Amino acid sequence: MRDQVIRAQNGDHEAFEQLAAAMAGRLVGTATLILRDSDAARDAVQETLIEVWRSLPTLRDPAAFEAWVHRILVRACYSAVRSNRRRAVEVRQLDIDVPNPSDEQSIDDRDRIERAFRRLTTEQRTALVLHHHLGLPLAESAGILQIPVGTMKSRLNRATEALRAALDADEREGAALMGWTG
Amino acid sequence: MSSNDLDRQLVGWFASAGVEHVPDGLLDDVYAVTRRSGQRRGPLGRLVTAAATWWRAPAIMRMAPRHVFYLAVIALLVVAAAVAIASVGGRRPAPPFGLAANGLIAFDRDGAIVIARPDGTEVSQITTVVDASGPVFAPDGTRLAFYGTVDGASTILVAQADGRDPIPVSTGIEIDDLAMDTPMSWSPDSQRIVFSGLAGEQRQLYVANVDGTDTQAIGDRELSTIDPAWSPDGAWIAFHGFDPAEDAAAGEYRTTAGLYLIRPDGRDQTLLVKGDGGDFIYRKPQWLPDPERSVLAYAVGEPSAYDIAVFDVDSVTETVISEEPAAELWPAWAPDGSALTWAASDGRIRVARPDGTMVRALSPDVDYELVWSPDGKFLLGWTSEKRSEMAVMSIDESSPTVLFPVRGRSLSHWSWQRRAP
Repeated sequence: MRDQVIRAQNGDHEAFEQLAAAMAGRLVGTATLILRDSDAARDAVQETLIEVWRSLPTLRDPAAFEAWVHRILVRACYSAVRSNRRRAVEVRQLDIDVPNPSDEQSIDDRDRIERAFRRLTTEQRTALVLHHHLGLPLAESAGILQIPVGTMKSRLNRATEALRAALDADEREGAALMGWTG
Repeated sequence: MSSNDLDRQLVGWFASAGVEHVPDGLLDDVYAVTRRSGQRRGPLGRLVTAAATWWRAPAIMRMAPRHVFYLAVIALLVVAAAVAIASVGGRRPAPPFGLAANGLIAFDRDGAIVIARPDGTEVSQITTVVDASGPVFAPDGTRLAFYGTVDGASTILVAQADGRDPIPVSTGIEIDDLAMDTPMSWSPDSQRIVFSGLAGEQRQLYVANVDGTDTQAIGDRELSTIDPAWSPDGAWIAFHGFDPAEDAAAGEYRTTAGLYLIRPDGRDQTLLVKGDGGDFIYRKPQWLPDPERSVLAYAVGEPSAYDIAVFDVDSVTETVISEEPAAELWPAWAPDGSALTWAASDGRIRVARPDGTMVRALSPDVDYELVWSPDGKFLLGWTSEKRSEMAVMSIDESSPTVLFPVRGRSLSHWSWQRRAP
């Protein structure tokens, strides 16, 4: 990948397109989790890849390419959230194509996690996605979010707490509804 | 449900919800733009342009690089002499405000506190406790507070500036990751510290003597309180407060929090300003280092568009002083209050006057959470450009940045020792 990055930095379109094709799927998956909206995720990835092409010559260390791309993606996701709010557009519920339920996690559990995850702030969701979905170590996630490692750790901690609180609230609301309907 | 169970459920859900399917036409749309658009010039391109400009300049201007080199050498000699004088005559305690001589820098690396001379020499590990992190020198430069694990529990310890004689000062108080994200704050007379700890499910502020005696919980127990900052006149402690229930009710994308003041004895808790936005609003408020004035700097706004604001407590006025399109975070005052720095999402540090005018962008050698040198000429910060490193960078960029590799897992805060001028 390093050679492709260097070639793309020197204006080689073919090298850039190979890089883009290799990364696009992962970027779409990440943006979809952060934004919970497939159209917004598509736009964020498109914006990211164009920005990557334009700014590639400014990347000082080709080995840092993937982390650098994720930093641009996170910024594009934050911008998407901001412009969505400015237009007062409700972010649509994303229909998830849930595969066959495994023994470990039922569809009901997945729905509960989905609802709870939706209640988190964008930054909390991003922290969880970088660390638990992309599997990035704390230092790398912190670098992408431009925060110190200690702050990354505390943000993950707070995001997990918020997720647990949202799950509890969901459970209470479910119980109240059951009581109401009898 | 345990944290591990929750993490496992989350990872399972991510696997199904984060589908890595590239929508039809996405790459075609990207290539349609990139095939007809150019790229920004990198450092090499800029160098070539600069060289061409230099060559076209009059002869006297072409002498400039050599003069710059001589000036840089002289500046380095002056700094080296100042550091040498400070290390010889640094026995007197430093004043808590204003310019002072530069002492040692401290940061954590691989779960231990490391001190070093800012020129990169005499790097030494000074702690033996497990998971030591977040060192903060006292304003007079004589002591060092840090986090560490004692008997299996996270604890705050206060030691001599060289790490000798550590004393636990938070025994019996649970210190969690969110509390440890904040450096503890020293009183201006260097005799007490304030820190955040866990009381049940809420975080609470505690004030303790540096010998570990007389630890008092302060503040409203309904509020989760973090990021305490002791005012330069010693009369107030500013902090970030949030009500978790209210925070959750703010809804998707929002966090609700406030900036508060409280007396060190727990009286007169006062809300200064409250709002909603990104996770970092009102986090880590920074007092202007002037005991005659009460001014705080912090970030407000949204994740993609944080701005720097200052709050004048006397006139109860909040002024947003930076409104660039980039997200701006982590303000830090110069030791004499003459300038303010902050980090911007384009990766370049800004230096400005306290009112936000005369903004200058520094080379991207230091990323964020900056600490000024006591003499006001350098910044200590963290960079992840190539790898995780601490960096000492000169404000006027007249000397090369000094880098300290930090591969550690608990890198959190760093500090610069003040010495008597």
